[in-house]
Amino acid sequence: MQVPKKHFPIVGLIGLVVVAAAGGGVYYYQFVLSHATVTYLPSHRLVFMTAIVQEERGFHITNTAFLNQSNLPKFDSTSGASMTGVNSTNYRGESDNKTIDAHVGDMITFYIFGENATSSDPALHVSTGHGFDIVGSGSFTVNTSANSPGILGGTNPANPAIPFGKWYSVTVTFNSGGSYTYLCSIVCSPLHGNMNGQIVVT
Amino acid sequence: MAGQTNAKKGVLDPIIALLRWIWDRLERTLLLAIKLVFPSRFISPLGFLGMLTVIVFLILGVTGALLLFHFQPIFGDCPPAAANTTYVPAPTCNSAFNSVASINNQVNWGFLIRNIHYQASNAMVLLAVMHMFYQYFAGRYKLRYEILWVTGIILGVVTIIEAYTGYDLIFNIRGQLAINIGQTLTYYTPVLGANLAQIIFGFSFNDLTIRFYAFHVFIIPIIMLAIMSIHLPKNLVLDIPVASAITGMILILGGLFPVEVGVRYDPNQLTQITFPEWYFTSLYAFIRTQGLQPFIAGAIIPGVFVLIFTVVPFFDRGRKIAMVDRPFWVALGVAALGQIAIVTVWGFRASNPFQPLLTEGQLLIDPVLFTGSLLIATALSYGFVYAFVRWRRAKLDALRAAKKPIPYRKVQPYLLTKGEVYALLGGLLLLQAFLDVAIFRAFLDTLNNFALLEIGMVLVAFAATVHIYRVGAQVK
Repeated sequence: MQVPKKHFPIVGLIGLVVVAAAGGGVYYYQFVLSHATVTYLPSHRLVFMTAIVQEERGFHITNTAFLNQSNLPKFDSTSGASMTGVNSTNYRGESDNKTIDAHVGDMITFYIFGENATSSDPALHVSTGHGFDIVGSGSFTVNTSANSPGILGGTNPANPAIPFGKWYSVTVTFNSGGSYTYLCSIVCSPLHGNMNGQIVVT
Repeated sequence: MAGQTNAKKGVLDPIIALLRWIWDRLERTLLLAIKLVFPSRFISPLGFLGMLTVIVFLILGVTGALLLFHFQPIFGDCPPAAANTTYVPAPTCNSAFNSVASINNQVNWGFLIRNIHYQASNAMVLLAVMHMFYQYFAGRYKLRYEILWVTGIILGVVTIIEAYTGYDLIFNIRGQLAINIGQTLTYYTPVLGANLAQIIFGFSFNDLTIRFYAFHVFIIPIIMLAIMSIHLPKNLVLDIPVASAITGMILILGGLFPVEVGVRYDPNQLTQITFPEWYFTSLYAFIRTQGLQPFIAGAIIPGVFVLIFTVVPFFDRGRKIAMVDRPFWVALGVAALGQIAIVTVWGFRASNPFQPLLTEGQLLIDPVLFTGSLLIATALSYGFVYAFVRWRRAKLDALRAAKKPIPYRKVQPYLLTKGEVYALLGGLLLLQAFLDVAIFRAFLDTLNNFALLEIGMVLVAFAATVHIYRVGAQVK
């Protein structure tokens, strides 16, 4: 039998601190913090897209980001959104570059650049731009402002919402869950009817 | 009365007699041929990492068997294909993935079992690799353990293949990447390639699923058990506290980092960029290197690496075992570790190693940068370790020549006082009692992560209790 010399019980004390920390940690995280439901804080998303006739790609998301500030980036239809000095975080969207995910209460600002078809086929040059509209079973609100002046649903081929070579911006808040479709609202090519994408709000 | 003994009769006597009877008969069996040692004090777990690997293998067997009740190895064939059309299975037909998702989200206890199975598979690969390197550095193969060494290397390779077939079965995009790479490498095998690929991967998704299922749950485990029967030594150390702590840590990891089901593999869609499991990213890095033939990158290079390790005992013939006497072999081992580390990290990085891999355009790795970093890491780790071991050896020789004593630090054991033992045992028992209540509440509130984490903590606390108890038994 080994008899310990009298010493400061450092190992015992550290051991007790570890035991207390383990028990206390479990108590705090399981019984003090609430786990009842998973809630998402509403976020403001920026979705950057290009719009070209469906034969050549249709709508295509080029980047997605969370806006981490209350005011929108400066916008004009020639140069688009000025992201210099804007506090935002990029995130990865769906791999098809068409589907947009969001949570109920999220605000989405779309920045869409209109592109003319590269093919010389006259059937792909029947309009001077594209339109933009959102349809779906749930409810949503359009928030028009100086830095996101766009409205939904223009159908006049002579005055398109997204003229070729220009930027368009619209801001929408999704108030209820469900699947929404965004689409081109101006007849622009033979496959115009397929020029759309999904917004999945959970 | 003659023949009567003075021994007191106890109530447990019949049970003790029965146990003795069973023990005597067990001596006729193979079971008692294995000599298990239960250490009465703490000894370094590095010496019995192999036994810990066996324990994790048993955990995998038990959890795997439970998963069998709910896993469906089916992919495709629904709805039936129309005649003369190219059949493309609908994504909903990926029943394998759907059943894993159901195990994870719906089946009672399914989340726990699946997480333990996953974390244990990682732990088994890690423990097996650590076991191999410890045995290598300790020069154990010199003690007539050559057969154990060679079978151990084979067992290690088979373990990796077992892990590979396991994570493919989930049929998420990560599994798909692994299947695609495996299939491509098999096709590139000289002469036999196409036939071999058909034998292993079958002719359709359904074939593939059912074959990998057969490999994973029966064929490979049987092969592993057969190799183990040669690989296991007669004397084994079973340290209950360490085994319990390792099991507990696996559960804690499962609670803290629950494994996700991932993105379902849909053959009709191009998939996103994904990574293989960490033990395969090294292979992934070689395959992604520009200009390297797939078969050379994925089969020849790892094959040569494994072969070098297999034949080590037949070249390292010196009688001395200590690391300080084997500078070449020790430096070689460290260089191998350095290689594994740098190649594993490369597997996770983009073509520019300072960026994470996110898009397909970043997949190809520049061969000059890759082989350059590999050679520099290998040369540096080899050079430094070789020089250090030689310097140590020279220092010891100089001391010996001068007939000076070789200094070594004698670590005085820290002896717990009686008060410390009682306080720690009391604290640990209280913690376990509290954790039991917390686990019960976690199940009632369907907090699966908490339940898994806390069961793990109970096992670790049990390990600590047993250890303090055995230490305390030596304190007056």
